[in-house]
Amino acid sequence: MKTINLLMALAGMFFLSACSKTDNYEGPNASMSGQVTDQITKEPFLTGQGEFSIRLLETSWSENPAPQDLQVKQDGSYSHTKLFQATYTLQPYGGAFWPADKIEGFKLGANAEQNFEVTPYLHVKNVKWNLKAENKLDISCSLAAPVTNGLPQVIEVRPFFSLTPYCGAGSRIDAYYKDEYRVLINQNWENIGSMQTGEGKETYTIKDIPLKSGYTYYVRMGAKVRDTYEKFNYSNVEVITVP
Amino acid sequence: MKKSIAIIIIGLFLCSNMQSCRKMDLDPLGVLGEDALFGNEAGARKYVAGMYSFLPIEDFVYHPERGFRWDNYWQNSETLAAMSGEMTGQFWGVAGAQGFGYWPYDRIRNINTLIAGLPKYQTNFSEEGYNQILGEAHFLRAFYYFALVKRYGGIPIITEVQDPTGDKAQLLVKRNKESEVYHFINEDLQQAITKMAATSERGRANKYVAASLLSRAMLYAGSIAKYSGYGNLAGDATDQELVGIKKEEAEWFFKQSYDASTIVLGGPYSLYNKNPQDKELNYVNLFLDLDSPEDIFIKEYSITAPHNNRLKHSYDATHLPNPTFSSDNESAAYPVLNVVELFDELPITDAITGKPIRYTDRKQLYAELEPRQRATFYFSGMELREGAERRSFDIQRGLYKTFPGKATDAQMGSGSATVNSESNRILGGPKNSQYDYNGTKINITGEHGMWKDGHANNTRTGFFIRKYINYKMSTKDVKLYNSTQPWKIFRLAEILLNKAEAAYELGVIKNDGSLKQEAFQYIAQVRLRAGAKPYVYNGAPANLSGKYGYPLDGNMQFIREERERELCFENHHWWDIRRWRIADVELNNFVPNALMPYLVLDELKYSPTGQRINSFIFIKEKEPWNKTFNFEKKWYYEPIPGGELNKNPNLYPQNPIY
Repeated sequence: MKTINLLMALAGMFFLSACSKTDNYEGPNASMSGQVTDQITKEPFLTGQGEFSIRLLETSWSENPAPQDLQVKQDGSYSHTKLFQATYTLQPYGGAFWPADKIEGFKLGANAEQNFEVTPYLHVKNVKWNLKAENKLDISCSLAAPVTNGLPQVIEVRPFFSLTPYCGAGSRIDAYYKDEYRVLINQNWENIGSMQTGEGKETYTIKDIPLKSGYTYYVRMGAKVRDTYEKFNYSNVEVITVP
Repeated sequence: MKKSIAIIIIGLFLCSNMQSCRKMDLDPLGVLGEDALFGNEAGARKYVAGMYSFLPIEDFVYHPERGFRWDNYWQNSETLAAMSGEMTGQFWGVAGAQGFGYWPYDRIRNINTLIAGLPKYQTNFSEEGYNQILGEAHFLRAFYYFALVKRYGGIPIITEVQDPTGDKAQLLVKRNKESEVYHFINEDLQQAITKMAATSERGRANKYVAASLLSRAMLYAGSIAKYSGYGNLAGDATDQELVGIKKEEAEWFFKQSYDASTIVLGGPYSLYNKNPQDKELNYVNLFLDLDSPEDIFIKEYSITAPHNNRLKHSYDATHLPNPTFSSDNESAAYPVLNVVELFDELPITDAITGKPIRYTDRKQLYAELEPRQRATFYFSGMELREGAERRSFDIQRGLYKTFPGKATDAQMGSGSATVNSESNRILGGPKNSQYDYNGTKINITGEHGMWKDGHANNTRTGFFIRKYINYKMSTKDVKLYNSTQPWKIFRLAEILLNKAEAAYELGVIKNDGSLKQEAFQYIAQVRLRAGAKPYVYNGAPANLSGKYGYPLDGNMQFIREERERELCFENHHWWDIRRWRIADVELNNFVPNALMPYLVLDELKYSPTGQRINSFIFIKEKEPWNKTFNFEKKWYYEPIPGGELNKNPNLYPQNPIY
């Protein structure tokens, strides 16, 4: 009986011994941050909170790495502090801009800053608004295309409303995200703008949007084209205080 | 002593066991070997029966997010039609668009085994019998590959029986181009058409069934070739043509579809027309009559089949309101007004005054509409069941104390419209709540909808589905797992519509007016049987290119809409809006419309005998739950299943935007 007990104890130790193998890989202790700017205006790229990302492919780990996406903030900046020190391919991904070049073989050490420049499909310009009686709002804008050749069809223009400074497709008051508050375009650029200068010919106006008294609205206009991702290009945020 | 005897006995017993070890290399009796299965026609028939039972048919028991032969029958209302915006359901929406990771290479291997093994036993077969089975195998393989390619685009084409212990490099097969897969399907089906006989027992393939699949698959390929360029689905998979087909190939694919349809139309089929006097009843029966000359290929069900065969369904119980017409479950998905309006225009608004038309009886609304329209939807006031169980669909949204103005005053049912103020528009629910109007108690809502908040089991759109509903059942039999009406996989009307579309597309590509006109011969046949007004081919059609951002004319749009009118709720439309690359436009923040019947209180009159004479109006509103449909562009293709990518990295790149 004693021998059996002894054997059992020994057997147990065999199992336990497996635990002694240590994970000696480095933890995710690298950080990375940067800014995405508009190649034309050299200003921060106008976007909404988390609407596109910097796509990382960890090429030093496997041949077909699963993509990691670092979300970009409304001011065009991004930052991440829990990355592995490794070699990556980097690319601004899935936003309302012309396909951006990849940065291959980027060696991430403990800390890195990497900025990107992208060319937006559209600039949403000349936003004008007018608060009328009964708190009805008229708002208008025009478009310009920095690159006109091969520009996908323009789908629509619509306003985005928010009660915080964060305003865009991801942070909006849903009640205004309706078909009656948009201008459906579905046109190629040659029909709505100049192919040479890139300036749009039309002014897009949305009328009689009912607002509520006593609120401060953060409003911006957005336009999108029929590319792969169909994200919006935005104007700057306007602040509208309704008395 | 006793002990030693026991040991001897045990010893002998063990020895006897060891003896048998010499003869272990026997064929197992319970497993049918290749010679039993391929060696004669009966065996081969049994072998293909297994493949038929797993054939990817999107029927009553298909769940877009769970798969074929799905067991939770109470989810049977979560259909492709509830994803494509033809119906609106309860809690479930476009969520199923990413599929369920369908990857039937095990079944394809079974077929490859048959194709590889059969020639050895050819002498045991009659010539027709051999060709029939071989043709059937090619048809079945094409059916599986079509189910794959329409989901994922290009996938590996595997035609041989792979050795699982073989060289790993050969097992990790790369994806083929989308176009190559469609070409492969074409080759398989051409083989099937040549080899198979013209007739078969019901539920099994023959040459016309194969030609029907070819007609559908090549039409899909043609439209993907023509329109995928406009989708702008950028990515590695697009660059390598794993998804999307070159525009130049469109003509060839459309021609293949056109020719395949010609073969089917030369077959022994005709549009169902057993009750030409009553076109409404005729269209209803088309989906219930087991002996229909229109059926090319159907899937049958049986109430006595063992449960694990999944050969019964719950269509009636999951689409009709409980307890009036169903004794189990409840109605969980409702046809939207937008689809009803594709048919004849509903007479709800006076064209001159703009005011809602008044009706003393809700039945008057649909009396003059297209018979097919009446046969596809249950309108408020229609009757169902026989004898004591016979009842009307009673759908009423609420009461207006007064409605003097135009229909547009109701602003699509918006609560902020003046006429919809709480003191003028009375909404109610749940069931049988009443309103006291000058001393008379009046029901606020109908028995089958709609409650103020659009409660489940009652329509939120003003309609129930009628297509495929078995009106001959007794209400007490309408339960889960209790419906057996067959599913139409291919029926002649689809082939006519395929041919019309292919002919018109070819006419556009070749700039050939006679082909364009020919398309409308087939449309005319479909519309004649449906009892619809004839459509006249328009030599100078409207330019609708602004609609989806690609060249489209009014005739083409009519052909597409005719397809939806004829084939709605038959699980076609979802794939159609994908292959036409219009889903992201059609389902962009889409909230379906509803048709709301109201009773206008200040217009009620009473006959001399004291009978109430009603005054109903019908208002077009947004569906009250505001359930929104959005199609994400990546859903033009489903993602290659992650588990398969892990097993075989050669399947990369993943489809666009995943």
